[in-house]
Amino acid sequence: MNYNYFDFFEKYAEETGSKPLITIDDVSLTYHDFHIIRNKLASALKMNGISENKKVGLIIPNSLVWYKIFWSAIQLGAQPVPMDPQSGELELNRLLDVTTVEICFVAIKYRNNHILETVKKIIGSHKNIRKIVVVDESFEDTGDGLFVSFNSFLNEAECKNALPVYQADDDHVMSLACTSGSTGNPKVLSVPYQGFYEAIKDISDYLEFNSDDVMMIGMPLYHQGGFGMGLQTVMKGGSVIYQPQFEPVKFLKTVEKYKVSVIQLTSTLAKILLSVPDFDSYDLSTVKVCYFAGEVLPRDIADFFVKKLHIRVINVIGSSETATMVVWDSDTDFETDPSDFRELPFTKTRVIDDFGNPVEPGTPGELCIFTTAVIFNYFGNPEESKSKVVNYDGKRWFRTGDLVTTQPDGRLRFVGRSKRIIKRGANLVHAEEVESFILTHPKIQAVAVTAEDHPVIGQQIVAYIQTVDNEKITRGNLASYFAGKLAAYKIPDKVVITEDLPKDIGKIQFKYIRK
Amino acid sequence: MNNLKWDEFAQNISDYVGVEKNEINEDTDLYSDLCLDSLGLFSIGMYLNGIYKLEVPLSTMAVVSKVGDMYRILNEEGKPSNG
Repeated sequence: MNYNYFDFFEKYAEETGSKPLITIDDVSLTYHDFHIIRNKLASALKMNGISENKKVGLIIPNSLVWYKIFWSAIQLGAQPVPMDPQSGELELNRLLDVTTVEICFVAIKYRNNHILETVKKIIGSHKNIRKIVVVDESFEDTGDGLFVSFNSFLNEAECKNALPVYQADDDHVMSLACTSGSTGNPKVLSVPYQGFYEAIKDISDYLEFNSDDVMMIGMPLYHQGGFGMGLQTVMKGGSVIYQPQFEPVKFLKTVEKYKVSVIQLTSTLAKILLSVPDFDSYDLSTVKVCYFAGEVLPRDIADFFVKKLHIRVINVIGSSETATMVVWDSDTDFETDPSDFRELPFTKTRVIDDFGNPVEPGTPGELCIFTTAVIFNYFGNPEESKSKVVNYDGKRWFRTGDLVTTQPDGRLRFVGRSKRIIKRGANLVHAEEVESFILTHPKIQAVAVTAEDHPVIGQQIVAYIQTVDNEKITRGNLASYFAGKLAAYKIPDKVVITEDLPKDIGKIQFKYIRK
Repeated sequence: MNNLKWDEFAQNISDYVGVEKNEINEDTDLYSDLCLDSLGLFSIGMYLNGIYKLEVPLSTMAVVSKVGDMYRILNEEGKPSNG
């Protein structure tokens, strides 16, 4: 059976059209209005040459317009390519190169990242881009036909009726999801249309979501997890709420106002929420499930939510490459460590050595996972695809790079990563990427980047550097060097000038990087 | 009031973020001038809490954007910490 996302969008547009589908910053888009605007936008995209398997870029923060653009591209059988709006020049250059985007929707800026300015600077190197559509209402067309306002673009729509919806087969790519890469090459994931639908449906059914559910999400839309989680309630006719940025008091007030039934947090966000001085005065009685994702979940936080707030806690481990892989569910797993996970009824795991052979319980090995959402490949990267997306029993499995051991009760415990990844809040930072960039600084001759534990954000980034002629370089100098080139969350939190770089960091031996 | 001295506060900020003290004033933006992100904000908040032995809730730090705001919050709302 082949699924189609638009079957439920159109069903709810007809049955409960006035119901909010998505709300951001107290502005809602109903199922009915989404249906209308999506068709109009799809028509405009079609007028501009977008069709099956063409790529549509989005460099936009959490917003209703993001959602409209994303789905209008999918309606045509094209692939939306959401990019992190914190991305700097280097990252955007690489992503636009790899993804072959033809039309790109951008915001003028996000926080202190000047997106439009960066795109204007690099557009000359990307001849495949035919149009940049700026979504801010303040923007006026430049008149060159290349940079246009959103309203101008929309006015190109011709079709007054609903456009036909693309019928995806088993091999159709739904979207290209973008993540950071280890050596500066971003990974672009070919997300399977059918497989992703099935994975979302499976977890939505497992948690028994229904049309009354309202999910409030702490992760951003451009993150595959943030987007996918929201779909779990929307698929059932429920609603989803995102915040433009995380504001703890507003988060709590929104839960009350919209009678939110499912919230999604990370451990860092939970710590911030619980620090709100009058936290106990907020009515969270409508919340039945709290998803934790992206970070280690401390026992005391799990206990607080379950015992004090009477909220079911689901701690998920997933990835953009797989959707949800394994869970800890307080309903069934409360007596065990929240950092010990088990398969879901619809996921499968193997723990393997470097040669792909199963390891004995208790021995660390790499977690290999099957879900229906396992990506087809890394777009434009056959080498990486071959090493990470493997075939067992005729199905696609994914080698996660996570090191786990199998406990006596069959649960999985994460013991590290086979690559040097720093878990800074919910962000994964590849140490090699930061090192490669730092080495381009003219006054730095050697560098080693490592993680240091931090009580709130999990890990922070520390860069040990050797400078040319004992030059003094501060974090501030390095931050200015990074600005606009790489995302702000990759800037080292600490910079240490040293004669002796650490040669043995964690479990991984490596030689310090020299020019 | 906790009687924090601005000069010393600015020096502590400078030591943490690696920006010269004379470039830091009350209107200095934590994001665009000091290149912090939201997680960096919590880190510096904890650092300052530790130096002054004061506690300000993380949730209060979450909505700060200027150095002057951080100074005022610590000075006016910071409670002595036990640690």
